[in-house]
Formats: sequence, structure tokens, C-alpha cells
Amino acid sequence: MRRTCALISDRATTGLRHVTTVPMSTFQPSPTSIEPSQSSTSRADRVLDGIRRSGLLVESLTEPAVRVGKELKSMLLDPAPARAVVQPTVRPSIRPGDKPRLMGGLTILIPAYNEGKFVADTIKSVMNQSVHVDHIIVIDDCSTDNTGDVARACGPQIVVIRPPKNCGSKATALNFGMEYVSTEYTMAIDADTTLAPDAIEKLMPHFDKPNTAVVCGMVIPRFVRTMWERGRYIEYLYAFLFYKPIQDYYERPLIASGCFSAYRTDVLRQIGCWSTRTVGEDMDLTWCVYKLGMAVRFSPEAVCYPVEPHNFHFMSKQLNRWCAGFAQCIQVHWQTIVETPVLRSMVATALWDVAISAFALFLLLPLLAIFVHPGFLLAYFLDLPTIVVPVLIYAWKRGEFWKALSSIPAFWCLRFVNTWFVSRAFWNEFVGKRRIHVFEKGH
Amino acid sequence: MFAGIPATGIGGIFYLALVLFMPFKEIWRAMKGESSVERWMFIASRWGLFAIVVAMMWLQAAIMKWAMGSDMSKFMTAGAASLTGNRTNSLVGATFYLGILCFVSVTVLIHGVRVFLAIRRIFAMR
Repeated sequence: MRRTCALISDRATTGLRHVTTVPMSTFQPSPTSIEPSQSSTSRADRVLDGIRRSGLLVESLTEPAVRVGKELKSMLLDPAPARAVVQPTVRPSIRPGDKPRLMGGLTILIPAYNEGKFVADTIKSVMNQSVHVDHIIVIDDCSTDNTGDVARACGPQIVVIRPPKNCGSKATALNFGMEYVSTEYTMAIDADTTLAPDAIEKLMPHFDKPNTAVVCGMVIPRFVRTMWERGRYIEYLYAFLFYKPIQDYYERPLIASGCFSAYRTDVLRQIGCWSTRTVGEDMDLTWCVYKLGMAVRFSPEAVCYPVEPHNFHFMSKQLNRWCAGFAQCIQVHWQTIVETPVLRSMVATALWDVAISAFALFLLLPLLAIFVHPGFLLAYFLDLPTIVVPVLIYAWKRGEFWKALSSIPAFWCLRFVNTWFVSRAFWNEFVGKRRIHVFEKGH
Repeated sequence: MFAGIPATGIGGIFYLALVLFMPFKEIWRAMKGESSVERWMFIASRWGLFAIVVAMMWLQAAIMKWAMGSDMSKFMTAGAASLTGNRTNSLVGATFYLGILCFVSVTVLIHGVRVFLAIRRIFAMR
């Protein structure tokens, strides 16, 4: 039987009374996760004394549990006070051999549901970063596999939390994790996503302006083997190396990818963290930031490697979610879109593409090819140069020219699949009123 | 755009137009003292890319013209004549006018909604 403790606190910032029941077995006592500095030690002692005096821990705890409770209480009871924006400049470590630390501190949230196969790689890639990460919190969303055990085995500094029941969506799981964040910056990483060793070091300096609320990184599929992964590989090369830098130049990235983005914690809380009103929580959050009048940046040097759907079954789930999420976000944020320069043009162009792509690809061109001239089939490749040229140039720079060249046919196949799913999603969302509410994992 | 959304070429052309507009925006930024050498280098790289893409599009058009031959041009003229009323190079003309029409429609629609929202806000304040 799992022992549980109830952590009860009055949130100083919100005035909300918060009760969280957490299985004790999910916590790894982590003396190293508490900063070894004098100030943090005294803070921990203060909180521990407070816990003992107030009797907030309703069960008697073993010493490791007290240590964990001490750390969590320090997060819950001592939220970052309102203060001026702190730039995430890297400060040198005090002890030789220590990694440089980020001013303001960084907590990484890793929501995981049945990710036992990949979560260890993700955690290790975070632990191997070139800068110090203050807290790594894995939200084990009631997995039915060994995700929690695998995460705990990665090291004592990993805090694994488990909600009382399955959250049902990534957004809810992240919001659960946000209760334990006390640092100036928060980063969300998918449990199947590994980071390049210098990814965080390259990402965080983009918070150089006070109005930058979110910074997202470059995404490249970890595995490029099947047709679906190859198609996605070309899509990412094109989207992240051609579209995204242009969007970033105009300070309007369309979306801060949910698999690897960093946020100012106070802005995140001001927005209400990740919304569950759409199934595209990352796009929803990005557009909420624009509504707030703040900026989103893109860092092409900060690279992450997610696992992409390897077969049609998982690809269809992911595309269903993405396309429906896009349509739902347009419904929710249409006023923000219209009032935000550049964003409105980008969304309008995307909508136009969506509207005519199905008509052109599935109806117009085949009819013209049958009844007029077979040469009209060449129109399927009308935009070949605008896609292939940037992709091959970037792939060549990355030393992946032949991999990209051999993957281009898969991209054209994926384009047909995308067209089908996005048309269906827009029809369901706008005309059929059959909204998708269930968050389905893409792999 | 983002992965998962199909492109029919309009998006690509829109982004190429954004690349063309970059120097003007950068001049505006320079006047406000916000420009830098790195930003101009970025613009130069995008313009280089733009030149290569346009060259490739021209090459592709030449290949398609060669592949289709005169037989195709006959159908092109007949098929698009009803749209443009001009039997000479009518497909090119129709494509051009339809492209312009698409762009103007989308732009007018967005700014129409924007004006509507602004007016509604003014009335709400009263």
C-alpha cells in the first residue's frame, strides 16, 4: 500500500488553498536538489520548522519523506516574490567543476504518460546540459508502464510527481507540475524529446529583452527511418529553417513548439498556464502571449530531437490533434489574430492554403489531368523549388544532404495525408461542429 | 506555417514576399537605432535564398514548357479563355489575375474584420 502525504498550503500569490495528495513512493529523496548554499539551507530549515509547527504534513513521515516535503514546501510556500525581470545571464559557478548557473533559475517539466522507453534518454540529455538546471520534475501521468521507476532511476535529483488520477491531457499534466515551480523560468519538454548538450545554453539568452515571454527551439526528428518520419523530417527542416526564422525576424513565430520551449514563469502564471480549452495547447499559449502584448522568440541554434510517429496509426492521431488544435485556436483567438500585425497575414495565408489545398489536390488537378491534359499532373510539383531549395541548402549545412534528398518523395506523400486530415478537421470544427476534446498521444 | 499544414505554394510565395520586405523594415529599425550588422547579414542570406528559389522556379517553368510542348499550350489557351476573355497567353493571365484576386480578397477580409472590431470597440466604450 502506498503511503501518501497531504501537502496543504495557502498560496501567498493567489490566495488559493491548495491541497495535493501525492504518493510518497513517487518521490526520490534528493539532498542534492536543495542548493548547498547557506541561504537555501536556512530557507529549507525555516520551511521544515514551519511544517513541523503547523502540522501541515498530516502523516508521520520518514526522514527522506521529510526532506522531500521540505523541498516541495519550499516551492509551494515560498513562491518567487514579485520582482523586476531578471535576465537569464549565465553566472560562473562558485566551485570548480560545477556547471554555470542561470540567473533566476530554471525548472524543467517533463510530462510523461507511458514513456518508459524514452524518458530516460530525455532526462539524461537534460542532466548532461552545459548549464545547471535547478529542478527537473517528471510528471508521471499515472502511466501503466514503468515510466515513474525509470525516471527515478535516473538520479536522486529527479523529482517524480504523480497526480491522483490521469490528467487526460498534456496541458493538465503540465499545470499539475507548475504547482511545484518556484524558479524564474520554466521549460516544458516532451518525454520523448532529447536535447542537444548546449540546447538550453543557446536558448536562454534569447530572453534578453524584458518583453520576451517564450523562447522555442529548433526541432529535428530523432529517427528518420520510415516514410512518415522522413516526411516529417523534411517538414521540420522546411518549417524550422525557412518559415520560422522569417517569422522570428518579424517577431511573430506562429507557434512555440510544445516539445521544447522555455517560458517566464510569472507570465505563464498570468496567462493561466496551459489551457485545456483546445487540443493545441502550445499554439493556444503562444497566441495568449501575443494577446498579452509580449514577444515570442525562436532560437535555431537550440536543437531538440523528438520521436516522431513511425506509422500511419500514430501519425493520424497526431495530425488529428494538430489540425483540430489549429482550428480551435483560430476560433478562440480570432480577435487577437486580427489585431496582431503579421500574425493575421500568416494565419490568413495558412487558412487559404488549407481551403484550396484539398480542392486543388484531390479534385481540380485530377479532373484537369483526365479531361484536359495529363500534363496538369505536373502542377503537383509547382512549388517544388520553394520547398526543395531551402531544405537541401539547410540539410547540406547540417551534413545531411543525401538523407534529405532521399526523404523528399516521402514529404510529397505526407502532404496528401496532411491535406486530408486538415480538411477533415476544419470541416468537423467549423461546419460539422464535431469538436475533438480527447487528447491522443501521437506515438 | 508549421508542420502538418499542407502547402499549395501560396504560403511559400507569401514568405518570399516577407523576405523581399525585410530591408525596408530593417531601414525603419535602423532609424530607430535597433538595427545591427547581424540582422543585415541575416537579410542578405534570405535574399540570396530568394534569388536561388526564383532561379529554380524559372528553370522549372522552362522544363514544364518543354515537357508539355505546343499541344499543352493549345489547351491552356482554351481552358482559361473564359476566365480572362483573352485567347493569347490566357492561362498565364488567368493565373496572374486569380493570384492577385486571392491576395486582395484575403487582405480585404482581414482588414474588414479589423475595422469592424475597432468600430465595435468604439461603440462599446460609449
